[in-house]
Amino acid sequence: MLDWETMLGNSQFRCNTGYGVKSKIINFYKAVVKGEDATGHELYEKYFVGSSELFAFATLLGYFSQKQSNEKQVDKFARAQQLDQETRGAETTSALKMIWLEIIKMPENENKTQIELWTEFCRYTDGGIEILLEHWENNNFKLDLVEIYQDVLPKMDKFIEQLIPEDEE
Amino acid sequence: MKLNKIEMENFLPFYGHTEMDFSPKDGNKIVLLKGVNGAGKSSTFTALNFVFFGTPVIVAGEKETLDIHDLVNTKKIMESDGTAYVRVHFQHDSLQWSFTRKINFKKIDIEKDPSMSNIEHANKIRNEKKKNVTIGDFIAVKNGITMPWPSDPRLRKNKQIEEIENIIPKDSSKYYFFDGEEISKYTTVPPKDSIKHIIEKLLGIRMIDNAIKDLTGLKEKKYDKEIRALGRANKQTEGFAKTAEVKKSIIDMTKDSKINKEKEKDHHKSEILRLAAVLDENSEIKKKLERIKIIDTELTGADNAMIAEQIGLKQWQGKELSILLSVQFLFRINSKKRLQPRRQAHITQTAAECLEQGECICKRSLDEIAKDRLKELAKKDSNALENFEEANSVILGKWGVKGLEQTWNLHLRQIDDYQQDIARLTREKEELDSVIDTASHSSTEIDEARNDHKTAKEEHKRLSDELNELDKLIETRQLEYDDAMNDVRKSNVTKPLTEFIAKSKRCKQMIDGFEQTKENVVRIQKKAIEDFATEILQKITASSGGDPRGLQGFHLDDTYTIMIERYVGEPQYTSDSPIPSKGEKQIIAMAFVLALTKFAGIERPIFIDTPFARLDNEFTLSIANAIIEQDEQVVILYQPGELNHEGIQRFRECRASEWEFTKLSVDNSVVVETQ
Repeated sequence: MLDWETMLGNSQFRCNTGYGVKSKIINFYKAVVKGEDATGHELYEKYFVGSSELFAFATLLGYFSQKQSNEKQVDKFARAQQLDQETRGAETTSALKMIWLEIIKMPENENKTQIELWTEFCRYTDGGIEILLEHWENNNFKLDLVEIYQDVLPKMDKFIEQLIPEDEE
Repeated sequence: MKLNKIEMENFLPFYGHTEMDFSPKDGNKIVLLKGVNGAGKSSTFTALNFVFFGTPVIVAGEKETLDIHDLVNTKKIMESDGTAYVRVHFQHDSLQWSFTRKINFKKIDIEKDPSMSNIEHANKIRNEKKKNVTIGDFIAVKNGITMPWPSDPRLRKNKQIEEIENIIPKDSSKYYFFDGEEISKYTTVPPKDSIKHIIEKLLGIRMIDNAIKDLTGLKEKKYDKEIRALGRANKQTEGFAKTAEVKKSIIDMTKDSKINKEKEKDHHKSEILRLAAVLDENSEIKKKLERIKIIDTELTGADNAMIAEQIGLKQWQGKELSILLSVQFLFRINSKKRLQPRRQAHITQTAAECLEQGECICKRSLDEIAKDRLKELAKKDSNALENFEEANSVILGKWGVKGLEQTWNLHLRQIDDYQQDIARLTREKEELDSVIDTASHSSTEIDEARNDHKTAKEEHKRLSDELNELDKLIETRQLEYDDAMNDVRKSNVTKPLTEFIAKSKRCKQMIDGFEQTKENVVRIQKKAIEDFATEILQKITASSGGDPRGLQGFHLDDTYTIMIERYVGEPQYTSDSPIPSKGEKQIIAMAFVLALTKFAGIERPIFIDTPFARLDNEFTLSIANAIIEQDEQVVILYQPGELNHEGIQRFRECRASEWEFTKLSVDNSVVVETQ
């Protein structure tokens, strides 16, 4: 089992998504990320400076909301190396690392390979994308990230409570 | 009053001392004085008038008066200095009185010039006597005590007159001391004297008269005098009041003028305020327009800043929201004790890595303190891990959850502040626009307002100055008015004047009341007098043997003129035909006088000079009887020629005393009592 940092440096591990360029539903990354090829999506407001920023945020959002997507991860748009602390910042990297550590310690993942575990990780990412997509579609194709943040906090609390019940403390 | 004695010294023809006792004797009250013409009978009469009433003395039926120098005996005055006097002793109201009135004289020395006639000589003496005669004292003695008189001559005279009048009023004296020949004047039509007046004087209405007199005196001498004086003062007060009124009207006019000017001033003041408001508004509009420009600039700035902030926030959100979520997660996870071992492991590992790399995970260099702390954290059982917050901060570097939130909230607050600024500025701009829209004035209006404002201010100042002057003027005039009113108050006699007028009016009412009472008394007495006079007339005619003259009744008409009734018939005036003879008239008058004295309230002696003049002898007895029946003190003056009258003989039978006057010379008569 590769440790987190090693895994990120391994080219086999990429940012997988079902909502990228090959998506049959929407290339959500194209819609909300600045600097991407925005052909057909010029009118949409951009919220993220790069796709890896959206990937990281969506992962946190999906994980804290305990939402895993079942959408097939047909697009592998960037190397996982994009998530390291040099690129993302220490805090996000630490959080993602903790999520990874939680995923690999989950009993149901005990027998899975590392690549399978990474797929599980990316399912959380697409889960977050689905939350954003729903919000985006319901909010006149705009993202109120503050509202999303405020919405996810109680979900985070609930998840942590489930993860670590009080009586177990 | 009853006469007891009369003394005369150097008085008229009485040289030296002469006295006569008139006291009643054996119930007889008739005193007879006999003498030829010029012997001095009437001088006794004059002496009584003199002692009671002073000079000039009315004698001879008011045809002649005698002055003081006429009363001094000529023989005596030509001999030496001396005193002449008359003293009368009488009883009045049970009191014994004596009155003495003196005349002082100095000797006159005149030799008869042979060339002068007797008349010229007499006139010369008379003129000399005038120079050498002065009035002397009047002495009244009551029950042996001399009455004191005031030292002031005027008061003394008044007091003396008052005392005398109480005993025998001067006005009525002539009805007691009368000339037999003169009394027939009462029968003239109309009577020479008011018979009504005579009745009033003689009947018992003296108290009423005194009251009337007192009240009249009080009214005329005090109240009316005060009224006249106060009336003059009141005119002065009216003058002051008029002056005050004029001054008051001037003040009122000035105050009216002030009120008008104040109104005008107020008008200008409101104009000033209105125009100032216009000008201020214009000024405010200018300010508002300036403000709008500033607001526009601020709005643009705020818009730009907000847009920039929003963009920044979005950029931050995209990049940092992941961090924020991570931090929140880490914070929550770390707060769970069950996860402590894992957390500690993570921290320990992270701390070791940081030490190895020589920098914090936030890429900051580690200082010595940080290194020491990380060394502690890198130990698996480090106590430093107990302090989760510290450990967390080491892991998270500069980004604590609070720092993130603060940064984020700072953006949000900034945006919110910009939004509020924009809203506020927009609102203010809208309000200013609204004010500008509704209060705009043209530049012409503003210019006019500026000019009008200036003019109004000048007018306002002018009127303020004028009002100040008016205030001073009013103050001055108020002082003048106060002075005038003080004069009015000081001189105001309205109250005492009103009081005196009321008092005078009350006096007049009382006088009228007394007059009415007197009128009633006289009217009642009039009938009694008529009846008694009729009775006397009938007695006289009856005693004369029948009804020769037909005088049957005596009447007084409404004007108190005497009427007679002949036989049985209507009353007629004595001027009506058949006109009464002189004798009849005297009988009528005598009957009237006797009736008067009978009903007089106060007893007084009657002097009748020559009672039977003009009368036929046949009537003298009956008249004498009538007089005697009166039972009054009667002094009869008669001449020796009248001794033939039965009447005189009848008097002599009933006399108290009889005195005979003998003329020794022109200036020397003597009196002796005859038996």
